[in-house]
Amino acid sequence: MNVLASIPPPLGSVLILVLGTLVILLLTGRLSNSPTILATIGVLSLLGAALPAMGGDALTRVSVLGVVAAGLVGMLLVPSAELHNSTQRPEVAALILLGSTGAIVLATAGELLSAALGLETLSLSAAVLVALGRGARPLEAAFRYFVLAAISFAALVYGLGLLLLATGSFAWPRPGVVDPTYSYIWTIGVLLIGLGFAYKLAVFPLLWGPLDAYTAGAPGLAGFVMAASKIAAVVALARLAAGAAVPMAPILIGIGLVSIIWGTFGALAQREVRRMLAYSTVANAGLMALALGCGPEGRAAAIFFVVIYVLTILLAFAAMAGRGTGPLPFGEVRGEGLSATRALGLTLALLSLAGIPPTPGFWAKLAILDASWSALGFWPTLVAVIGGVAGVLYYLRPLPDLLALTRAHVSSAPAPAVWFAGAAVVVLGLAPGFAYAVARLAIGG
Amino acid sequence: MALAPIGLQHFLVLGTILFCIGMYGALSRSNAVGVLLSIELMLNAVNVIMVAFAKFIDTPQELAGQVFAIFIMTVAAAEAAVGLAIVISVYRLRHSIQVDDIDLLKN
Amino acid sequence: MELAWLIPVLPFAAFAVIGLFLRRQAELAGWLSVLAIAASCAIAWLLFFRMLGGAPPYEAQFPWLALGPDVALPFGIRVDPLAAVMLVVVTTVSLLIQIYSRGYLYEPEEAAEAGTGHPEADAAHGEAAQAHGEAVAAQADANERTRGAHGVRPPSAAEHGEHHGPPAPLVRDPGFGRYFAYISLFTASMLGLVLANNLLTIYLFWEGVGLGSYLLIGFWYTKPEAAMAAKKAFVTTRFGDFGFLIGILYLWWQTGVLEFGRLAELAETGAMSETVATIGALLLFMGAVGKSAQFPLHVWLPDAMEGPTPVSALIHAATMVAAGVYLVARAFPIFEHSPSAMLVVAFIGGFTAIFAASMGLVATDIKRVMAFSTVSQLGYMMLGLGAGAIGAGMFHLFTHAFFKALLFLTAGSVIFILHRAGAHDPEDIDPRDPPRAQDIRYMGGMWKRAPITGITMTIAALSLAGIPPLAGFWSKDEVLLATYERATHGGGAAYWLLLLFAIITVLLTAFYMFRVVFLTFAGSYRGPADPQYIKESPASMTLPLLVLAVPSVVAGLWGAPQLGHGFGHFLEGADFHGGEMNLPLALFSTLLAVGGIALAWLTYKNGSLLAMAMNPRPSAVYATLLNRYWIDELYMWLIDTFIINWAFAIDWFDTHVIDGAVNGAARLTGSIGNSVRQVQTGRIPAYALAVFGGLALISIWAIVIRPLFS
Repeated sequence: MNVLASIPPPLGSVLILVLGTLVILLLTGRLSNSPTILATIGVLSLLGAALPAMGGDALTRVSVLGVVAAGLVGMLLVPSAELHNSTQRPEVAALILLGSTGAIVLATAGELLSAALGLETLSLSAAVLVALGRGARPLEAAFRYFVLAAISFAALVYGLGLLLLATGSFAWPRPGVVDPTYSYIWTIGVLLIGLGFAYKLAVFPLLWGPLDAYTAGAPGLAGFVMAASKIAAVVALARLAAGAAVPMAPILIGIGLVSIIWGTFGALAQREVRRMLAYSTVANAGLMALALGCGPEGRAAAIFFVVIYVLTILLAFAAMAGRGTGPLPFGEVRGEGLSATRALGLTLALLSLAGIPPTPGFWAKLAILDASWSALGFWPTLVAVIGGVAGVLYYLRPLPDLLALTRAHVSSAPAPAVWFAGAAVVVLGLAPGFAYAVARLAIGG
Repeated sequence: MALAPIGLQHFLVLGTILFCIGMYGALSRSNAVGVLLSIELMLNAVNVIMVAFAKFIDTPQELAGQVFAIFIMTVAAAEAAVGLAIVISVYRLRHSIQVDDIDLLKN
Repeated sequence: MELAWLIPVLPFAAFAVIGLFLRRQAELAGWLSVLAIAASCAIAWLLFFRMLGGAPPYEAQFPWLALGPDVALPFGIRVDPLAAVMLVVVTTVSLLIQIYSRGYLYEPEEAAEAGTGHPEADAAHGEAAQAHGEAVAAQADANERTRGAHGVRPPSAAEHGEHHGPPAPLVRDPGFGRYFAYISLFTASMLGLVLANNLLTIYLFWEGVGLGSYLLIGFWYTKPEAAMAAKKAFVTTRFGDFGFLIGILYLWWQTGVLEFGRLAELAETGAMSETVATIGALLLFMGAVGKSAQFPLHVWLPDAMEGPTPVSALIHAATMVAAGVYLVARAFPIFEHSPSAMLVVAFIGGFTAIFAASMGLVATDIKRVMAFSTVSQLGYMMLGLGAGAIGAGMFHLFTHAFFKALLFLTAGSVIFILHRAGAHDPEDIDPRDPPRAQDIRYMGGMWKRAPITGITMTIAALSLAGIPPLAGFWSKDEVLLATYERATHGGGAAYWLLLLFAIITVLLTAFYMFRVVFLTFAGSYRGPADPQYIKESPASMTLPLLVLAVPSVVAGLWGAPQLGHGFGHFLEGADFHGGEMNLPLALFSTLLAVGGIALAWLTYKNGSLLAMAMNPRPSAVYATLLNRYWIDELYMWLIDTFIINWAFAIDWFDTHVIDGAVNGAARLTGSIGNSVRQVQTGRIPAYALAVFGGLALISIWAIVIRPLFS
């Protein structure tokens, strides 16, 4: 018992996830024909992974619970995922567990070497998950995502090397421990590491790979990739910015503002739902980057935001899952034949993304605006508000068609993922206080 | 005239040059396998630097650089495997590994 | 008092139940919705009488989101005289409108299936015309000539080749259940907005109202105009909401409180500086301008007519547009603390009043005339508030709710009757051919065929025109009086100008309202349907008309100076300082109203149309009014230039320059063989350029430029 108790909580979660992965991989042959059992094993592993995290600190709890939620939605969608080859379902489930492992490691790593490994585990799982989608589009998107991820990973480890030179260790950077002669090397190193993390967040100018992956991947899998990456990236960037505010904070603010503008205009030009969502991701990533540069309050707001954002976007992707990997033009939403549950789920998600109160998206934006106002004053906040308000212009375009769908009784398979994510979004909207309190604890406030 | 002894700087410069060559290749090669090779080059540039650090720097964690290099080699192997798998799948679908032909998302 | 929270919850529950379970059970959905609002209405009246009996204001709140140890965002409700009046108005009007809707939402069977073919005959008549406006006018002209040639009646149905024999029977609109779900949501949001005790809660329901209106205006979502109008309404009001949200945050950051009561305290004791009050008030006012369709954000309201007529009535009378006025009234102490903010409110209001009325003079769609009239009347309310008389502004809102609801419902009744008789389906709008069922140029002679509709519309129009002793007279007089008082007591020249605007508007209002009444009911029928099928609407529609006619006549007496200023005393309590009626002013405005009616009678008594309205090449003034001062076009141009083009530029950049990170780079650098040469010519791969150029720019900004400012 003592041995078990001495395992750090994140490691406990990771061990359980890896165990689940191994079980699934060993039983591949049998599980490929019984998706329900497969999903059950996956869900149990994820739930099991959440347990040890409960004993950890707030940072561990937020990261693990967020990633587990993303994994759960992805796992619930495995039986209906649109794959090239349906015998690959067990592999998809295993990759989701592995990706979750990577995301947890990236977010909770004790030092940067582990974080880099977590990042790479997540990247590789993500690229393969996207590639497994049906058709040629996901494959090409995966190739681009993979190449750019690999380049940014190389930049990250290069930065890690510079950091090792400057400080002699792989510890997370802390203010005031750098030898002045090495401070330039240290700064460049921190920036390169930040670049590696920021790729997962998909901010300007690192947005083109993720953009394709979110657009073309099978919806359930792309949703998982997006969600797990964002949570891990925000937590990792928050830790980096906490220790190295000097080069990181202003750059995060600058990147954030540019991303908000870029993503908003980009989304306005889109004619189909999925690429619009992908672009809006950039605008939202910009909001998070902006908040990350705004001191402890801002970091708490960013973590609060990412939890809410991730659940919302998971709801949106879950609602679109099962319809294939092609684009969904605005004009064809009505002909899509979504069931009432899915249409309502997508509606709720879009409302929350647009920040209409009392959906949780409103609270998340409010927290970020508050942080940005107190740290940066009027103009940056104005850009953030405009970005948020302009979101309505594109998010609500499919809404009347979606609501009209609720009249149509298109029977469809039950959508547990939609219910799960939808319930989470509703709860967060009605009681956002708890999540915010945890986010504050997570950044040590 | 005796050459100056090879020091940390030389390895740093070598690593940086290798890294930049790799980055250029990854972004400009039109052959997908070439892109993967260039990425390997970037990672190995980092390895050079890491091992050099381990050799020249006297820290309590003397082995950190070496260990890191081994980690990176492992990761690089995994990356190459995944990358090649994706490239082969693309080839099966499009009968080409020219990155110019990977353009479905543009439409 | 503790029951207050039930008022919004009941309709919301109706929305949830209908939305989740009763979408197909149209009959049940309609009844459930009506029952829920009826219960709310009963509670509202109960509260109202308790308040009238002198009960103290009731307030309750709990923290919703704690941002930090001592900062909490509250959710709370407050019942005071202001809220009680609004609750009564909103629930009563909404109840009547929902009853009415149950009769209204039917459509001819064949129209439900296939789009009505538009008559070829018209095309032949209008072949010379090209542009849209010209086509309309020329077509009308053609009809007019035909009428002359035939001597008696407009081109018969047979001549138009549209309807042979009796018109098709009516079937229920397929979206019946959905309609009641939306309308319940909309009403619930409005009621929540009225009850809110702090800025955040009011914003929450404010957005709910916006969403509800979006869904209702776009109810016939298959019709492109409706979808566009819904979007336009949402986006335009959202533009104002953006200011509203900033205003909330600004006041919060400056004062640390969100509750109206505490903000009022701060403003009244002077703890809030005048600068803060001015900026905060103007930002809040932006939201009110958007929601209440004041200039320059008035553009959405006329288009919002694309929704079903009962929805228009609800939006125009008691909900949505009233929200802006209510917000200003709620935050009134902040506005009062800043004379410059008050002047802005008064000016926007006074200008909107005359501006919208001028456009109402030429509109030919019956609902559009009503819409301009709403915008204009809302301007009056804002003017009253800006003149410092919260009682006058709210009193006008109170009376206006009844007679404007009545006007819209009568207009709906006219449309329904014509539609049923076989005039064009309001759903089928060919942009080149306006809906005859809504175009007053194709009406006339309905006085005998639809007497209840006719009488009630005349009552409402008289009330709106401000003829004593109808409701509109008293409240409009209060607004004029308040402006006059302000002008004579230190308001300065601006308020004299506003008084002039307001008085001219009286004349314009009377004229355009009676233009509609005479063109609809006097003379003989000029439209395409067979007149024998034109008959009164069903009881479920006429009953609400008759009920609404009562307050349209008597509601004004509550606030009449001769009867003790009941409304003002109730609303403002001890603060009330209303004066006596200014008889010369009242007399003058009444004379102007009568004059306007007389002018309309002289022009349109036989249902004849002004030559100008028929002229294919209208004068510049007329064309300007008809095109609404080209403001919509101006906005579209601005949006195109500054938003759409940018969006597409970024999209183009991403797909053509960046897309394919990898391949774009390769294409630019060329193949392996000449890549070196390419580098020498200075070409850098696009992606690398973007990434590292971007990073470099941001780094420069962060390291060099930003420190300069911090």
